[in-house]
Amino acid sequence: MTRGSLIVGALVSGLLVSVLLSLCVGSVDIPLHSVIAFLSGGNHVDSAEAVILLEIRLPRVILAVLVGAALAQSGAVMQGLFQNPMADPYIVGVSSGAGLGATVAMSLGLNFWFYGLSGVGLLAFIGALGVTAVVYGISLRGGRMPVTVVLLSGIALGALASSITSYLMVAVRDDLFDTQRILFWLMGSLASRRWEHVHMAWPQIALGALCIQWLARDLNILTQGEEYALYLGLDVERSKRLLLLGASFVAAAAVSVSGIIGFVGLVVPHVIRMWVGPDHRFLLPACMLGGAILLVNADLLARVLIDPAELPIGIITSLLGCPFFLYLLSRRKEVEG
Amino acid sequence: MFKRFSYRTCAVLWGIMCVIMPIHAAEIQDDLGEAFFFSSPPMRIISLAPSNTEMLFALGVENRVVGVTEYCNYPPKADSLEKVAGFNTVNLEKVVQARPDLVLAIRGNDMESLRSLRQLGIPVFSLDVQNLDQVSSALRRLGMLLGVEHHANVLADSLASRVRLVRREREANTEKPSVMWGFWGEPIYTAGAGTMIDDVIETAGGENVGRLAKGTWPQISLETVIEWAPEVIITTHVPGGADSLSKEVDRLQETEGWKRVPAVRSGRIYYVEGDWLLRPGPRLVHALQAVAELLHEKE
Repeated sequence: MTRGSLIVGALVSGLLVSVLLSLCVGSVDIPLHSVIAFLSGGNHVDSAEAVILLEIRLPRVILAVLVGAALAQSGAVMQGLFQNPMADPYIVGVSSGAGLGATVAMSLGLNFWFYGLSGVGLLAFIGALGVTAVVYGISLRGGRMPVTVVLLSGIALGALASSITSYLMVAVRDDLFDTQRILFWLMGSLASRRWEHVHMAWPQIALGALCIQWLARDLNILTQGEEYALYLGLDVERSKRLLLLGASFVAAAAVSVSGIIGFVGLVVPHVIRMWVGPDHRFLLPACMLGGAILLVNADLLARVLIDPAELPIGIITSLLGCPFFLYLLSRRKEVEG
Repeated sequence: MFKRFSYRTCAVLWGIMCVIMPIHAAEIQDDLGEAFFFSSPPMRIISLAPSNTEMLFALGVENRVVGVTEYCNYPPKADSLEKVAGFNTVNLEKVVQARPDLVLAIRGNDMESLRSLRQLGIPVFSLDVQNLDQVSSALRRLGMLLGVEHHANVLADSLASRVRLVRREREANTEKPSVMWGFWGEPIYTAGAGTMIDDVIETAGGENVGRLAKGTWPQISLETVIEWAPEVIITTHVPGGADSLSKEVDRLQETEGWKRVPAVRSGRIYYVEGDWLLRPGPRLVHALQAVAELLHEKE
């Protein structure tokens, strides 16, 4: 067994423990044996505990797994592609685009649900992909897409989208409640998320994640430098475009249901890379597991720390992840080239 | 023969239904347009807003309240009830645990949470009270919903008559001072047309300068305040607490810009309890009476 698969095994069990803990603990504590009984479709399905577990807690935990995995994988891809340790899933404007979409939806009162899709989620998804598409369009020149141009236009368009969002919040503010809603959405949260949200996000995340995993070898070669990749016979531009698209796609799907949760996509790939090494075939699934673990635990804290109220989850992901990351950094001996 | 019998049975049954239904069940609409049909009055109620809690207590059904928000502090007894919601967040787990047969919401509650509750089969009745008259009408509807019509109507009538009294006094008063609601910390917000505060100020016989701006909660600059030149400022928040109001007024009178505002020059800056003026509940009428008294105070 390789070191990589050992670590993946450890992460899987870590995720399992986190999920079970999250299902047991909450405003109402449910003992582990009841959780297992409810999950296996045991009796007492009408009790309040069963409703809490199956209709409120379970979809939320599953969503935390999906969103955490998507953000961490997307972050790992972006860092690999851009060869930049500061890259994260939002670097090409996904978050600002989603924020703009969601703000438009909320300030226009588009709080509809349509065939299992929420108006806010839908517009956030469209906004995220829209901004990303414009970034690609601007960066594409003569069939090539220079990484620096992608980065810079991503930052510029992101700033533009954010400023339009702020404008909408201040100027088109007919209703104070809308402003509140927008602010909470922008901070990111998994509060009140249901099976509907799970159904809304998992197909895109699964599709994108598979596509990215399929290109993991290409990503390995790309991280050696584009010129080297070209010598090895890789269709650099095609792989790059597919990877960027896939990474933006999963990030957009995650953001559309959770709002903008920071930090997961930035730090989890770094931490996992320190353990697993730079081989993306292992790194990507390990990142997904790591991101899921972080988000499941962060969401648990978000809902119990100031019970009965809830904290925005972004606060917790930073509070949990930052010290841990800094600790790992300080222990590192070698200097990365 | 059989056919005629069944027609007749149907007709008789229909007739009986017509007589019984209005007595045992009532259809009531909430402020989001949802129709409610309760065969018996709800007995386990969760309130998702301080104003709702105040209404339920005023209607004398406090024994039916099984959950409130963290901000429900009035009447004091409400503070000791189970807290199931925070600011803008509803703890779904706690709500379900309390086994409510009615959740009383307001439009400002998190819509996704309300949608979740409905999907879990819990009826959600939403109120959207935006002016004085709607306080009374909301109380009447709640009375029907909860089977305490008589009490509700008495309460609503008395509130409405207090509002009428203020209106009549206003008509007797010829002076109509210009009033601004707000705080003097940055950014300065005020209440525009269509807000509850606007209704209170205008009903009390003032002229809400906030109407000059666009939007319901306009953010304004000190320049705008100077231009509007309000004769009275009503605030619901004083930095350092309501007791330091006179100190704050002294400070404003020394502050460049602010000292040009008529309300500051004459010291007509008044504090009104925020929980009265900002909550769309029965105590909004207290706020109205307080504001009316302050506006027409003899110098």
